[in-house]
Amino acid sequence: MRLTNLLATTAFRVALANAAAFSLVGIIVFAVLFALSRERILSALDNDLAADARTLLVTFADAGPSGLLATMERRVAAGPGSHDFYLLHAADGQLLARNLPDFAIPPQWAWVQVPGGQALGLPDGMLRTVSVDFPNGWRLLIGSNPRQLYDLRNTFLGVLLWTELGIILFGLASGYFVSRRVLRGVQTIADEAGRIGEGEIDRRIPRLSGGDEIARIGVAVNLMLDRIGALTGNLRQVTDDIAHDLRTPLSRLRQKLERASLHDGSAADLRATMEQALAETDAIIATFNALLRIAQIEGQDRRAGFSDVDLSGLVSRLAEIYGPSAEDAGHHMRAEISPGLHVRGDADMLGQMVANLIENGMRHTPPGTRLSVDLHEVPQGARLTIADNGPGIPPDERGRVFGRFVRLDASRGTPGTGLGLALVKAVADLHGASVALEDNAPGLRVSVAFPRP
Amino acid sequence: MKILVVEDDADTAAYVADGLRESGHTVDVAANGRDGLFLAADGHYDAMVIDRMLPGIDGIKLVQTIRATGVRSPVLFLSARGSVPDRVSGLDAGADDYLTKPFAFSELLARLNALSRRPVDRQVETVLRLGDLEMDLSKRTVHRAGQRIELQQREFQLLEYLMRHAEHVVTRSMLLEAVWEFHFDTQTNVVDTHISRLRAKIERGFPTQLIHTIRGAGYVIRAPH
Repeated sequence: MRLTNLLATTAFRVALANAAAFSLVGIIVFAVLFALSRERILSALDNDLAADARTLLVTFADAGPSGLLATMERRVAAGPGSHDFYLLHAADGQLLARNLPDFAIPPQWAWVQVPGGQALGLPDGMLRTVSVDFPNGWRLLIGSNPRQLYDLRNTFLGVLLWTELGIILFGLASGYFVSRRVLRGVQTIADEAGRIGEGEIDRRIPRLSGGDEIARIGVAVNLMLDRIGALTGNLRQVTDDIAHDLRTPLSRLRQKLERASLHDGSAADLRATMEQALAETDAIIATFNALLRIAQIEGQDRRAGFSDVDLSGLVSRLAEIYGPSAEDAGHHMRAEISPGLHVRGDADMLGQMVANLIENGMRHTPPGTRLSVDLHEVPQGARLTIADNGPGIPPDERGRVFGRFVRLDASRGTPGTGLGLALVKAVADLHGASVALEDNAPGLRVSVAFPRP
Repeated sequence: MKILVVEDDADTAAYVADGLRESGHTVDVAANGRDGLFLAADGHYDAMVIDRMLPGIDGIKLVQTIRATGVRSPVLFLSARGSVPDRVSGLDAGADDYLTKPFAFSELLARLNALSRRPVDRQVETVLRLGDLEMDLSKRTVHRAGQRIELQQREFQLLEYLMRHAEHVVTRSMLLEAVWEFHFDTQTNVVDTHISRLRAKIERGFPTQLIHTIRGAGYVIRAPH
């Protein structure tokens, strides 16, 4: 991973922003603390100065100018202490006593830059001062060394500097590690997706550690790939099916047309051949339509067109329309349909499904077979049962008959596309219904269980 | 009949137009929605065959527009897509019938004939007559040569549809749609059995045949000459 990649990641930028925010908060906290502490120390300093000023005013009142001067000289002679700086001017500005270089005394409270003050141990030559005016016009400056304030400032700055450094380093490091972790996951997904895109479609993204968003993306991508794989598999299957199973009728069609074009038959012969060719074409189109329907249904792009379907009415009409045909074929058909059962779905597709089931029952059973169509309400919804007492389907073949173009050996001779039950399964799946093939002892019973609408 | 065909695929357009001309109709062809709109709004057609997917103005838009301008000629949609929502949206746009490609020409012709004969005031007719066959729609009774014939409900509907389209071929899928409301293929010719039962009831014991099977197309009910 290159540094530029790292800097370009969102996670790293977020970590950086976090570090900046933390350090800003740190600075503000330190500033407030510093201001408060400084205020405290300064007021203590000023209180000392004020107390000193009061003492000297009392001295002046008790002992007069000479007493004050004596006190001052004594104090000055003692040398400068922590805050014992004095400068005494007479009313005409004449210097009376001092342990500081001479300068004009500012009134009241002040900060004074003392010339050569650093030599006196004053930080940056600064002095905190208060001036006292005596009744005889004398003016006294009392100064205090603000070293404590400067020490405080330096301590704060030092701590702040190290703390901020720590915060920024921590922010950068966490940003680096978080983004490296995220990047590694993303990089894995990107690499795998690239390989899959290049054609290794069976590859999957490895399970990433942890259950975070990146791991979830990997899982989601795998699910998507599985679905795409299923759909492409489906598509490939359909293509194979078409190639294999339409070749036969197409070759038959071709043979008929070829024979018609080569032989000088009568107009009636030609007409007969053409009619056979048309019938062949219609069968091919029917197969195509069935395939298309299955593909459409399996692609599930038709659920948008669902509406309320009167299942009882639909099954009744189907039973009714097939009844005479079944009788003509020597079957006995019986229908028992509970009224008022509805499902959400596509009436055409459901009709086609039930029609396929009834036609299957009629087509694959010998004359004399009893067929029954039942629709009843069950706790889960509605159950449609289409049963016969014909030869049935052996148990081990029941799973297979829902495939496309599957024709059991027993039914090879009968007409049909081999798509009927595949369509039934696809329609049932789309409607959330389950199809079961059961033994009717004897015969076959197909049960379709619809959920409640 | 004067028929307008709007179809962008030249082969299909020629197939439809030639077939209709051979059947004795006058045909105008437009290859896109704009020309179709121009012709439809201008000429007085007895029926229009319009492809649903057209370059420029598509079929739905075209039908909506001509309906909005007050053209009431029946419209039959041709489409490669035949799902329920497709059909419903086509009929909602103002089409009268919907035929999914690929189709047999006989199917198209039969449907066009049925459309152009669609009675404007259905309610007014209470009795349908064809030769000596008489159907009373309000009493739900059928008589032939004065003799009462008992029909089941579907048989009655089947006969009514045939009689409303007397002298014209109706196809099996037209009957499936009109009588049973089925818009899907059945593998077995279920309609044939119902027709033969109906024929047994209205023809057995009478000297003339009324319902005729037209090979490769469907059925027609015809008054005996």
